[in-house]
Amino acid sequence: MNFPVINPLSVLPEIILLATSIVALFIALFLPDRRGHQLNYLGLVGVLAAIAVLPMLWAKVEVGFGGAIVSDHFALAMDAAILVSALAAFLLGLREVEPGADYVALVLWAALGMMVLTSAVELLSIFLGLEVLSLPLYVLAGFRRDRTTSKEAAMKYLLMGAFSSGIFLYGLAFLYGATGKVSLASIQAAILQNFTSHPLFLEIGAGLVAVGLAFKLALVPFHQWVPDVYEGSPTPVTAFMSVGTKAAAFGALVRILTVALPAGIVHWQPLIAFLAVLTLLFGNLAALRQTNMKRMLAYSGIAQAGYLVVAIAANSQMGVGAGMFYVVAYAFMNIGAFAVVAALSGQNEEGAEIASYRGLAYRRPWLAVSMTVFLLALASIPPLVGFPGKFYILRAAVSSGGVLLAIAIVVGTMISLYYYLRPVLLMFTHSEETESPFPATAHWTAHVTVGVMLAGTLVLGILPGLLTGPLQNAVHAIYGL
Amino acid sequence: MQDAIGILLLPALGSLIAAVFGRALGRKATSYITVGAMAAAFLWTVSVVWRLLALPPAQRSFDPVYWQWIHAGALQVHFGLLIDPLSATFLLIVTGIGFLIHLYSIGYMEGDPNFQRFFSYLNLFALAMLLLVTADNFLFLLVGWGGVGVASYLLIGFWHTRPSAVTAARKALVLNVAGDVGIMLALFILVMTLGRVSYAGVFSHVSSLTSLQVELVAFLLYLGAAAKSAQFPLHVWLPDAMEGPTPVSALIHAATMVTAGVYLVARAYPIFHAAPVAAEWVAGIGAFTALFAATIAIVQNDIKRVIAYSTVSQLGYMFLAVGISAYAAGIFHLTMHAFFKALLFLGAGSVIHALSNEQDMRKMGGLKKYMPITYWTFLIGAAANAGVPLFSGFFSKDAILGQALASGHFWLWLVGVVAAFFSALYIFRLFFLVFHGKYRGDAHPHESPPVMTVPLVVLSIGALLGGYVAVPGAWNLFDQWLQPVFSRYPGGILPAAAAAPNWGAIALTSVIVLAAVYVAWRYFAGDVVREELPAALRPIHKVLYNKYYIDELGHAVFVWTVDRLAILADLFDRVVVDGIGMGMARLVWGWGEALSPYESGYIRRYGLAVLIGGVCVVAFLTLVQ
Amino acid sequence: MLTSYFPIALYFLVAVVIGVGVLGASRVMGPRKPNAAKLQTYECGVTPEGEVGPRFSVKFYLVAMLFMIFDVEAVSFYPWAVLMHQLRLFGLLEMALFVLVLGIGYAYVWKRGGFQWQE
Repeated sequence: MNFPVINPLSVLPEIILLATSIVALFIALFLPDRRGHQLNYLGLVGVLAAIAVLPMLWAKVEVGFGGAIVSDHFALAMDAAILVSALAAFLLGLREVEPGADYVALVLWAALGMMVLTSAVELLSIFLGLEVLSLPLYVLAGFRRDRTTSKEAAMKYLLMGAFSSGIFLYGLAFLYGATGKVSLASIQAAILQNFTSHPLFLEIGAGLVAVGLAFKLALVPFHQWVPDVYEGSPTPVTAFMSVGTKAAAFGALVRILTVALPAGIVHWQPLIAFLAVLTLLFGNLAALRQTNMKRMLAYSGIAQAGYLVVAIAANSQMGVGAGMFYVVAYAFMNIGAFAVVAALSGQNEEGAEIASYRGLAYRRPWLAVSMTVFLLALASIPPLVGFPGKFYILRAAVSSGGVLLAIAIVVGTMISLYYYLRPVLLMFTHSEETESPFPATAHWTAHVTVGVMLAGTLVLGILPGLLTGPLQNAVHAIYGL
Repeated sequence: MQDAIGILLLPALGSLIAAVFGRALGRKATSYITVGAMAAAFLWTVSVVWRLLALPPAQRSFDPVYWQWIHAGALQVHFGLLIDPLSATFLLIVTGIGFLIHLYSIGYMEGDPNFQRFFSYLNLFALAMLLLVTADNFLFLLVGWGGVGVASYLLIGFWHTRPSAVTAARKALVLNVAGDVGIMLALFILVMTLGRVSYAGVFSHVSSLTSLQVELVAFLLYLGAAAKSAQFPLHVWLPDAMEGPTPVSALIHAATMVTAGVYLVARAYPIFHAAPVAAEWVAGIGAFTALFAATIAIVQNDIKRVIAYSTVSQLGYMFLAVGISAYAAGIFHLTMHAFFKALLFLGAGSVIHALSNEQDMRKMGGLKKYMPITYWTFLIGAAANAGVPLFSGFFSKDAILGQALASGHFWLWLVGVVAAFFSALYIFRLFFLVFHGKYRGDAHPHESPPVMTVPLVVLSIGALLGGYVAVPGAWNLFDQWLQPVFSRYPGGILPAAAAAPNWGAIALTSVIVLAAVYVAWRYFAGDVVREELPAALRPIHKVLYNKYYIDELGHAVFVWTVDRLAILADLFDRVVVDGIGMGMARLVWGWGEALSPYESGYIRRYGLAVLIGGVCVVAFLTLVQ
Repeated sequence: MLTSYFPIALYFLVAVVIGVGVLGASRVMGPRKPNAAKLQTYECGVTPEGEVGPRFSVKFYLVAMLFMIFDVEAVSFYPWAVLMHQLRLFGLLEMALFVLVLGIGYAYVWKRGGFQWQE
């Protein structure tokens, strides 16, 4: 009997995360509750260790689990973005969530699921990754059990998430039914050889899979959970899931759509383009009237997902590269913005209202300036990282003939200027109130997070070339060049 | 010329220091640092110009490249500076006049609680403007272009406790961004068609574009230029921008930023040369704006507004010039205008400062005896603005009108001459109302401190003597200086420029201008302001006073639409998405009632939206094949 | 390939027809004279007490979930047991690791009071 080759190297970062979580749970058995938050540092070390092995794995493509998991450049690049967002969850978590072993383990597991999702090249492993990332996030969303909004967020996320998982699984079943294969490469081969039972099944499968991942990516009209969940969840969790989940879902969508289902035969391309335009226009318009910072960032995140999906709709190597760059850019800008929100809010999320940012520049200049940079980057003002990010996407869209997509991006960006600049203006406006709604200090880890994200936003904005080279390799990896 | 980047770094550093350490350093140190940065930048520019002059004219162009910014396939964008006589002229204006205005601000902003912030903004503006004029490609031009927009937004809204200032700042930003989009779209077309954004790359390949493409690029560039340089009908933000502190009006809205549009058209002359239709528009709208704004300026009562409309009108002249390919003449007028308009604004600021922030000319008068330095310097500025013979404006304006006539644009010339009459009328109306007659206010006028009057004197020397670099019929040093820039590509030099001056036309304009000065003296130099007008003139006065109702029209059309869009966006989620959900929910209401009596709340609708979305997706995919 | 699914489709069809048919027929044909006793909840002939859907303590769900988790884990032992001899030492170590992880999880739940009925 032949057993599939496991090859632990292909999941080395995942193993590190899992081992860290088990150790954390084990230590928690002997640690008094009041010192539980120290496990957060253990989680931090685990994530850093996982990041540290990424460059070592970069040298060679590792295939594991009988070809179900591939640790190629694409997976490693997405893993980096995911791990950075997990890092933020730990760095920011110390103050707000009173973390213990369960917080540490849940974040690590969610990150693990995300990483499996980006490196899985077989339908069942993909679904496994999706579920492993989803379940811990449901719990994390409701981690602040003392807050009604947090509980509401968890409940809504769970119900809607389960619904979308079902749709996604249904789609996978159709893909399997149509081709009789589970690995993405053989599905593609089967389609190209006309080895399919019925093209209709393929279309339905593609549609349902797209819907399932569109839910995770927060594309309109599958977005409605996002504002509630982002607002209600603890800020560190929001920062983590807004970036990590998007990176993972983007990875899976790229692998399934652009690799397994050739656009010439399965007509997902106009569909994704339509969803992208709908999403970026709606997200930007709806963000205009928000008064809560987290809610505004949630709608902005919807819009950003729209830009990201334009890269997939381009259906080209250029598009995939642009999308990957944007994921990294989005990680820095968005985590940065949430980090400032987290640094400003204490135990009870005081001052998540945009109005309470008035005059911040005079009380907390460092945080106000950082927030300004992040918001300007999100509005893709050069020379910040959002600008080359959007530029590459625009270029990919235009060069594959999507001029309308490009126009939609420009229009969306113009709308977004209004709501990104409004808090900036408020922060630099003198406030009559001497009482600050925010706690006077933030945990040092929050400042570290802001600093790291700021550095990334600036450096990659000025020198995007640092990233485009490695990403080129990653694009080649996914197209099997 | 590798070191030219230092000119940009100095204000960048100054702005940063003032922003971060301004509080700790205090007012005095902050002002020394920021003003010192501008002074050093000016000296640096002088050294650059000196080195340029030492070279033979054909070699006076440098393009130092500092780093590669984007390398994406065929498209390469690097950060580099273009140092040639054209950008050097602007460097001189921005750093030189900028320095004087910085100096003046020390006095003007003396009592302001946000002194350091103001200087930080001023340096930031200088940085953006310097980047705009020195960038060697369209992308970094756009960076500077956006930067000056943001800086002007911050400066117009500097007194953010005044609602009118905030509104004006927003208006300026919105109109400027509309222009930015024009340039952005032009950039897209260039990237798509030529795959290049550097000036050298684009200009040497203009001929490979179709005439439609090049007209489109030219129109889009002009849209940006017109928004920034307040050309009709995008001029409405400029008069409102006078809500900012007066040094800001002088720096941004007279001497530098508003001339960026003229710079753009002049810099992109190979494109406009290949786009004759767009160029005709540039000239036509320019002439119209010159006349249009001059007529409005006659009846305004706010001293700064008159000067603002005067700026719009003078910018019209410059666009008239660049539109008919008289680039050197346009830049010449721009340079002279920088002197006399900065002088007029600073003079007005001096008056306003002296009268405890009074801006209404009806409450001024007779200030001649209280503020002699301001009076005499202002007189020089007014004469230059009016184009009184032998003052700087006379030479530059006549250079434009002369070339318009010589190149066969008779109607443009005529409009320009009529506008010249109104120019002299409005500026001397202002002058006589403010400085002659009896004092009609209740403040205690006094001369301004030396830190304010010294810049006035320096600028007045420029406004008085600057014109003599180009005396018609004798010499034209300015044209010679710019000649290498405009002869690099075809179409930069008007054949008519070499023609002998038309002395008759010059005499005619001179007489008209002097007549206008006389009319102004006759009607406005008296002790009382004439309020009554002949009945026939009253409707005209009303239309002019209300600026041809352009603001109201713009408000009605644009602002109303945008407002409705925002409300629509707000309603979209509730009405459309929820509406569909509700509609469908009612359809299945009976079933829902029977199946889930305990379910409550909105999550059901979310689920329904997902379901409907999913059905649509699948339906789309199955139908599309 | 499609035709091989035909019996399943037929099965579904028959199931739906019978279900709808029976309920529909009784609704259409049966006489309806509701009274209080008829509308009462049926509870094995005993007089019902309280509402139809009484609230359970959330602890029931917790216990049920924990049971589910460990129960499903136990299922994983079966394939291993079947192939134990072929997998040899590797399989034994894998299973030991699996049990260890499970054990830590069990201990953690225990420590956090997951099995405690009363606070």
